[in-house]
Amino acid sequence: MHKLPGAAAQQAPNSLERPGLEVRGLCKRFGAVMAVDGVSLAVAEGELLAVVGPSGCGKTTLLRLIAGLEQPDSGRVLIQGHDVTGLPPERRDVGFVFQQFALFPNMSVAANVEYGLKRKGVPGPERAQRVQEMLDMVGLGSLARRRPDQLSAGQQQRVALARALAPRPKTLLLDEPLSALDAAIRVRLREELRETQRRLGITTVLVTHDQEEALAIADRVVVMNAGRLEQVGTPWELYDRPQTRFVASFIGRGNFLSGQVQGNAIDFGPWGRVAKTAVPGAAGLPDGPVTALVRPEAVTLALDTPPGGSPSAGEGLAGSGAAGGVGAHEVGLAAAAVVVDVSFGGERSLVKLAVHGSPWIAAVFGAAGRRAASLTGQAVFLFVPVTALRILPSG
Amino acid sequence: MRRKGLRDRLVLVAALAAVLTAAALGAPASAQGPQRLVVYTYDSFAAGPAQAIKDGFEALHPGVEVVFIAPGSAGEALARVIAELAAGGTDADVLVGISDTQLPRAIDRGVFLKLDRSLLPNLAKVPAQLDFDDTGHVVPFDHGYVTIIYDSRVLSTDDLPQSLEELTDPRFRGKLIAIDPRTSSVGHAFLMWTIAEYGDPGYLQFWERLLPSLLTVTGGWSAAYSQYEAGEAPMMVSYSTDTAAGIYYADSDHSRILTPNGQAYQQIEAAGIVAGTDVPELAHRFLDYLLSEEVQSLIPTANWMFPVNAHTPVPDFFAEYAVIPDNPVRLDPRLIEENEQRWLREWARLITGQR
Amino acid sequence: MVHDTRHIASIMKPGAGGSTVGRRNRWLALLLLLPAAVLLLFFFYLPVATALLEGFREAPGSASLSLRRFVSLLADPYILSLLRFTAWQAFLSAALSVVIGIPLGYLLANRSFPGKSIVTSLVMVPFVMPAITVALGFLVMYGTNGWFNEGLASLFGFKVRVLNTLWAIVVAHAFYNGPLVARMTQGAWERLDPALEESARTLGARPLAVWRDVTLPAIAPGVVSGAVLAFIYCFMSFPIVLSLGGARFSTLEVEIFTLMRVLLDYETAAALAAVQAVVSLLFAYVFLRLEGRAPSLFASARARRPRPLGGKARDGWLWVCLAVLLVFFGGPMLSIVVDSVRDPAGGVSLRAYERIVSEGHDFHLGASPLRTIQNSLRYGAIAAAIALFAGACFVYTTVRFVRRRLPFLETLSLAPIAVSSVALAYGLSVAFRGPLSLVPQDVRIPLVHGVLAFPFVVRAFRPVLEGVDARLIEAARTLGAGRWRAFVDVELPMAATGLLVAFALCFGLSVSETTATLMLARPEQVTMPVSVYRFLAARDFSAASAMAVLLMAVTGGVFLLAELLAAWVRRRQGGKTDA
Repeated sequence: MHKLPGAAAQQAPNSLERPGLEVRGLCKRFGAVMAVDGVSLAVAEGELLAVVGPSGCGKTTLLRLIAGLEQPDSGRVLIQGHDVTGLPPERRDVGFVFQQFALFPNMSVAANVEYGLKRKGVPGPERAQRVQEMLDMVGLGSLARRRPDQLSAGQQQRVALARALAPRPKTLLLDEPLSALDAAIRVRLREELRETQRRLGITTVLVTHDQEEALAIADRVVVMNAGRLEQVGTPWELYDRPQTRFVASFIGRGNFLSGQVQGNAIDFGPWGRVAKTAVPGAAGLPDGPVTALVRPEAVTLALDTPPGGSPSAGEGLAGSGAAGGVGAHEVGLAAAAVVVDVSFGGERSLVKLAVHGSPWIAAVFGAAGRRAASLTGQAVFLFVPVTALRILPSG
Repeated sequence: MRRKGLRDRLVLVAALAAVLTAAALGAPASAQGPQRLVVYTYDSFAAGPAQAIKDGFEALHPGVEVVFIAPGSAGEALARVIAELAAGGTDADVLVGISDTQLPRAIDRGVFLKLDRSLLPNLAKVPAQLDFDDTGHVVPFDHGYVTIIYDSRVLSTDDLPQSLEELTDPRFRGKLIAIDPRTSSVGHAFLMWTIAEYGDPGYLQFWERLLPSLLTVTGGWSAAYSQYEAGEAPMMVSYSTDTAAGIYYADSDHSRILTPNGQAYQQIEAAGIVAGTDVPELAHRFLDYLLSEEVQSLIPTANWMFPVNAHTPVPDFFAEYAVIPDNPVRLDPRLIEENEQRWLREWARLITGQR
Repeated sequence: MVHDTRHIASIMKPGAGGSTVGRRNRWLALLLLLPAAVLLLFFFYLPVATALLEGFREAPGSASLSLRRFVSLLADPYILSLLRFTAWQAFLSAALSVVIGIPLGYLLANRSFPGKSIVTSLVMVPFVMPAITVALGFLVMYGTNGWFNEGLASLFGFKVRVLNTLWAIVVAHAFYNGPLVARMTQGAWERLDPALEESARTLGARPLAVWRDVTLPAIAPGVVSGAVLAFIYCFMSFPIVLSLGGARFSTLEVEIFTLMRVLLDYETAAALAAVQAVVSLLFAYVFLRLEGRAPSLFASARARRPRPLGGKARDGWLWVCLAVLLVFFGGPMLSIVVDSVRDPAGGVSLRAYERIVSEGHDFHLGASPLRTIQNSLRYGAIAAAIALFAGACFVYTTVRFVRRRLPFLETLSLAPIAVSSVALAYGLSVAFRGPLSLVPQDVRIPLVHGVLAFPFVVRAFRPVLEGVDARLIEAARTLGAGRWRAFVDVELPMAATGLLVAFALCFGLSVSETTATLMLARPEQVTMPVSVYRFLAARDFSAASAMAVLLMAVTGGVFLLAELLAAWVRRRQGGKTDA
């Protein structure tokens, strides 16, 4: 049901005539668990593809299958068009960065970086030069003689990256490379990572459980669930046009509205009814239950309503929104809400609301956050333009 | 989880208590009770006739308990007594199984009480040539003969070595298992025999000639015997009672005795009373009992030696197969004491190829 | 085994952090060192010092001391050649033990297969076999007419001489010590993060290069630990050398035995024993220093799950290894079983077993064979409890309070296996007459066995405790647990499997010990291996084999029990942490 076979090839924005990396119908079973279940995927030359999903979804196994650290039960792996399925990891020309970096504790930083060059038979002088180059690239030129256990986590991560890149692999595989780091350093390092990857133009697959990280640096993102691909697309596509409720809730935050398609209209219960044609992508929907997603930033709050003018609770304003601060001609859903809590987030704050007995969240910008906070426990209006509703095709 | 804490602690305390109780229970059982006679001996004596001797002696002397302690070979038993005496006292009242060769050293270290021979009437039944201790510290209780035994299924009668010298013949290459004189009394006896035969330092040249014939030199008699029985070599250094023992245990007479030129090395085993005993009189009675026909008749099939009491009857098969050589060989114990350390070291250097 | 999910960046560094031991902790640390100190000082160092002091006396019984004997011993080319040979055969033996221990350790750490617990327990059994029984097993297995040579002859038409050569000694030592090395290797392997090997492979290293660059350095501390113990053991070896190699291959210990037990020259014997102890402790110290330089950096972030031994082509060599090892370890053991049921008159009979359990036929003067078995079990249990208690406290203090390697102290803790057992037995027999005469007779043997097992507890328990992240205890303490609670709730369960294995090992050591037992035992205290010697002395060969089989069965059973219990604990913990 959820599977989109061959979706990658169809949706890829880049030219995939000759993909840098391709997997076809990969399956891997561990005992009773289907860790990877028929995954097909193509990554363009120089593209950074992020694979996200909850823990245990099979994303790490997928990466290990690509690297040759596991053997697939069926399916193929191709790197730059060459079938490498039967090759051992050392002959696949991949760079791999492990979650805990897996630096060789018995070797210095330089020796770690040099290791892959040695195994490739790069001559000594060239090796030394390359090691220095790589360490300079990650800004650790002065720490070459240190041992890994004398480095901070961030430095270890950089060494791991330099080590993986030193032999100039065709493909870079990153398994949760930033998860072992503090939040602040994580953001900085992911920028560095992205920049390095761009500069080298290396085909990269990044596995992460952190959707924010994936959206921030990936060209395209794959969402995996229970061993299968849920959706593949650019960060914006995944955010704006999620195909499943799983994707919608995994990528970004959102509010879900349950509705019923009845003829030309969709009935959203207490929220009222809207015309099918007014909702993007809803025109062809057959009768039956439907779920709509509303991103927090699409929710408009009327924070300036004078306290006296509280609306009659529970009354939907379908078809002709006229709440304060909203363009008078816009069509949407409106409701009264109570501010439960505000979490301050700098340029953007999240307001938790109770609407029709369900929790909602809305995003407000700048000083509006402070205003919202001052209204905690009080009633406000909220409005959702009908164009901001995203129908989830498969429930 | 929280409740479990107390239980864990209790378990640990209980375990500790158990160990301590076990320790406490080990405290010496009351010193009162039956009069004890502690006899140190060697392991095969303890495993052989000791039980019957204990039962017999205790039956004759109600209220007496005989305790046999066997720390290993005869040498080890003596070593333990000497070590304990040096440390301030030993439990041993009697030492059974000192060999004639060890005696001078033991006497020098003051191990034995001088015997009152009037308390040993059975000594009269022992032939004078066996009663070797002219210092009067110990009495002999059995004797045996160390020689070469051979597997008659492998070696034919006309193929046998007729002398020690013939053992060095190339046709016996790797055919003999010897025993280390440093760790075994049998091996020791064989070395003494070669010294008696070839003199000092002639024995060394003999051993050098003998080396090719030696399959191995084992640490003890059991290891040698199991290799011999497994067919590793058809000859070994052993006792002249082995044919009899083979018949007794396995109903097999394939092991035969060689007595080149009618010779074999004589071992006389003796017993004495340990200096400092609280029960010298009881100990004398024990030694006399050891010489009685009752105990002496056990010696052949329980200890595989010959009784010293001339009045002792022996089983027919033993009389037939156990060999007393025509010309028993013996070295003077004093000579042994003076030279043993050098001999053993010279021998060891030769065997290990380090001269 | 125990797997912690620590942050790689905060791997416990030796000496790093918390070097300030608080005043209260210092008292606690001293208190925890007390059991080990009492045990070793009174029941090892005191008797050994008593024995070795003789070596310094100017003349027997004289109060003035000199180094005269040492000078002449060390100038004697014969003694030096003994020393060289002793070290050489110990080196070869340790090397072969490593060659056998590594594949076995690999198999145990990385593969699961049906009957694994049984195989694991079985390979530990040689460790407790009396030397004389091993000699018999080797005779039946490797003799000229033995199974091995019969096999060779029927397959290839030739035989090889193993018995009575240096190789017999080396192979028998490996039979004893291979499993020890395997155990230590297995422990190190289980703690190696598989990601390290995998990252080497993605960097282009072939399996052989991965082995050389990552695996070997990681398991090296375990292998070296095992090899040190094997080396010291073989350096002290005596009955095996004489039974299987013969007098041509004399070692220092044979010389000490001769001097002490035959020539009654305690002074020279003591001097030689002192030389021997210094040499073996020197080896121990050097190895421990080396090992200390390579602390356990390879700790795992991910559980290493043994995968089933597959029928796939790439597991083929493992099947071959398993088969070879089974023959190597099982053959000599099986041959003793066969020997025990062989009727002297031909055919098969269980008469030997009837003899050893019949109360009436009492070879052992005060201790019936049944009593003998009871004695062995009781002493084994008490000795293991003593060694475990003292050893665990000692290790706990050095790992948690001192937090850095103290090679000198560790060498001292290894000393009980590095001192001549003949000299120790002599020292003990003197000490129990004199300063230790108040120690009850019944606990003397277990105490001494506890001393001899102590080094093994230290070697086996230390890596386990080091594997428990100190931060888990800190976490427990912030949750309101006292130090004791944290120990019981966190460290004890995580170290439980290691403790169980150590217990079984100590038990086995105690059950198999003979030199000190013979020296200390009263008639009613005869143990199983002593009774094996007694049966041999009484020419009852099949009864000796039957008793040896019983000894193997009993200790193998205890090993198996410990193994199953450990597996159970592991499963329970696995279930808890995976949830």
